[in-house]
Amino acid sequence: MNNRWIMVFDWETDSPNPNTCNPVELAAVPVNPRTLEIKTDQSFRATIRPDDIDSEEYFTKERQGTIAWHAKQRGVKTEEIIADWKKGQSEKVVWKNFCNYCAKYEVDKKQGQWYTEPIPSGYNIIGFDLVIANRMAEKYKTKSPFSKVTKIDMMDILFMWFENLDEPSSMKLDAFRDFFGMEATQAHEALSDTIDEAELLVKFMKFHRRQSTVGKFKGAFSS
Amino acid sequence: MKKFSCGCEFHETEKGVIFDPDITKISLDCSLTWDLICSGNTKGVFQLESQLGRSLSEQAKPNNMEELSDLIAIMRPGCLEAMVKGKSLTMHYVDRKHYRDAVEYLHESLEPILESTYGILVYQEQAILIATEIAGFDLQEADTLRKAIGKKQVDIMAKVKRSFLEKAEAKEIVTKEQAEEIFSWIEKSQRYSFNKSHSVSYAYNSYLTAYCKAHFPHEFFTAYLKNAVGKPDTFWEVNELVNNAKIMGIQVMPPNIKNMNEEFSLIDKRPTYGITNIKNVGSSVFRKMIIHIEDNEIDINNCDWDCFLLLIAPFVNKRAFESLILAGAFDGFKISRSKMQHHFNIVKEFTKRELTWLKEFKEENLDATAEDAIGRMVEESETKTKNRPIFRKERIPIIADLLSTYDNPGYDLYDAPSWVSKVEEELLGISLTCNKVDEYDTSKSNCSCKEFVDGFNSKGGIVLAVKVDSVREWTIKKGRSKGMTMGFVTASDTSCSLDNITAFSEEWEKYKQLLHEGNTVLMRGMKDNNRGSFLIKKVEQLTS
Repeated sequence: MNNRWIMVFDWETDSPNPNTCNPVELAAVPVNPRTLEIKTDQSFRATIRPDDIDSEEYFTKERQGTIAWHAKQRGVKTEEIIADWKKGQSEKVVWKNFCNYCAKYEVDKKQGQWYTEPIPSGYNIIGFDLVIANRMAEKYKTKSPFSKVTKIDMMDILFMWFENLDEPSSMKLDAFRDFFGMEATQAHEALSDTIDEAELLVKFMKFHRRQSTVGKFKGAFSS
Repeated sequence: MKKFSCGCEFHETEKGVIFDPDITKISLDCSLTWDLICSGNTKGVFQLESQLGRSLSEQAKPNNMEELSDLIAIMRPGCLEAMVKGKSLTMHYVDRKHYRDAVEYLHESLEPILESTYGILVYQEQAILIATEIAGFDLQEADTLRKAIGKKQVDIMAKVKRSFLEKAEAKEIVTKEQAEEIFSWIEKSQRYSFNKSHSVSYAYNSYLTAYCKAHFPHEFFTAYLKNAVGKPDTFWEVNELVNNAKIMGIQVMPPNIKNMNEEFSLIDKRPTYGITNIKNVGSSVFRKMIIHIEDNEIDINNCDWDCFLLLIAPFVNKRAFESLILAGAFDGFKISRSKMQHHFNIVKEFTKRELTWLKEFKEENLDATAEDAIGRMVEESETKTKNRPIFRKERIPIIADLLSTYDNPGYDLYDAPSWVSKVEEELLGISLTCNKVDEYDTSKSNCSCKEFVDGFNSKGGIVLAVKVDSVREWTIKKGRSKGMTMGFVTASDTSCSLDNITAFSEEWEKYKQLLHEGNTVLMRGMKDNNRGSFLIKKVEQLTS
């Protein structure tokens, strides 16, 4: 029986490479592990100012492409995106605040529950968001704010359900949003994406819970 | 004079009530004390404070010193393990005392010896008297029997048994079979059975502690909480005592920096946590804080949070200071603990040189907030009014960022009850100011745990909104549900904790998924009028 909070989180970055990118936005929302309530009133959101955004060297071709992509997604001008990022806080301050925030969702250590940190969740976190989080933890010498063992990547879960079907056409979150008929009010805005991911997670967890209570798993594979 | 409903009176002075804890000077038939013992409210009462002691006090309902002595003796493993007709001698005693069972004697000759204990062999002295009466043991033989019983010497006991049976046969008061049965009683009671003189002296101590608890509960809990520090599991003991105090309507107060009391103390007639009763805060931290308060001439009754943040926090152990915040020691400043923790996290980011500058600034400008001080530090460093800058140039954006997140770190700095109760449990042993359940919609409940303890009942059933604290699964050993499992649950809300919640096999099977430690649930059920426990009928998950 899981008692650990589930922390759905999402980074927005200035390039698609999680090993080299600068994060520009971080959002998270906790999910109550028992009631599966999405605690939107307890969410985290911060804009991050990339270190060298004031220098011309910052605006490489690749970054300009990403900035244009962000602007297109939000329907604003690239200048507005840059201005928004410039108003952000430093990476270090945001990361430390985020670690302190996550620490509030740690549960008590007890028998059978050695890992107390919240379970990280989100879309493609194993390949992207967790890579950045681990990089930040190493860079700023903090412990990882998340459970090192359990992680729930919605992309993996959806892959397992749909890998043998023609639809949806791609594994992108946007494709699943369309497929499930979810409204994307502010796609690629970190908090909005995070809440969408949390809703997807909760729907599937409820579905799994119903299945696991009616299915007879115990001894099902014994010869 | 301070008068109590039981008739006890004490001289009262400006300093308080004068009480001489001399057992020869206090009334041994105080109704307040006997009511307390009979209600099973014996946490902290000598010999009767365990779960077993509390339960048996309630069941046996002793009303005088003789019966209290009996109770202390029948709680020993000898009586508890000696089974007769499928029931322990302890329960035989209880049932016979309350006329639920008839008092029986194996032989009429035992009646004068066992009459006072309803035919149950309770004391070593009774065993000796039986040997004298049935087998005609002389004083030397009786002493050998006493030694064998008292020192649990199996080989001597075997010799005494042979002698007992031979002499009983010769004396012909009882048959051989009866003699064997009587001796088997003596043998079984040999394990830990009490001698009466010992039991009576224990009973006097029990009565004295119960007397103190009944008349001076605030002082009693303060003293016992103070004493809990030396116990092997301090927090467990503190938890039990605070919960018991809550049941008695006594509020144990969280630590308060303005009191600056080192240990548990009675402040404004309430037991109050001391600074060093917080986990991670030791005496050395306490002394260091005192020194800083004195050196900086801080008036702790009139200073603000920023004084502690800039003048004290940087110079004591970080973990200890954070524990003080989270335990509620600074709640008097009316700032959320989350906010104070966040402010402290910001201060932790400063260098020693920066902290010294902030401290000096605050000393010169006592009305200035920490936010003002940090802002001023950034300004001064940028304008370079001093010969040597306060910090390196690269630090400016970092400190400016810290300042910008002073009131907005990206999340709401509000104290969620689930978080506050968790940290209080961790640091104080029990959540004092709230319960995890406060975060949920409890409108469907019709009764709090305290109201249930106080006797609330409803024809339509009782509905409790609680947090599950612990669960024990039990396999039923007899009856029609033999082999099935049932559950015993301890659960709490802000008012107090209930440790007598039962889910019988059917309900347990149905709802055990929800009844796990830490979960918050709505329990529908009824009161078991015999045992006073709560019987679960239905469990629902609580939601916000």
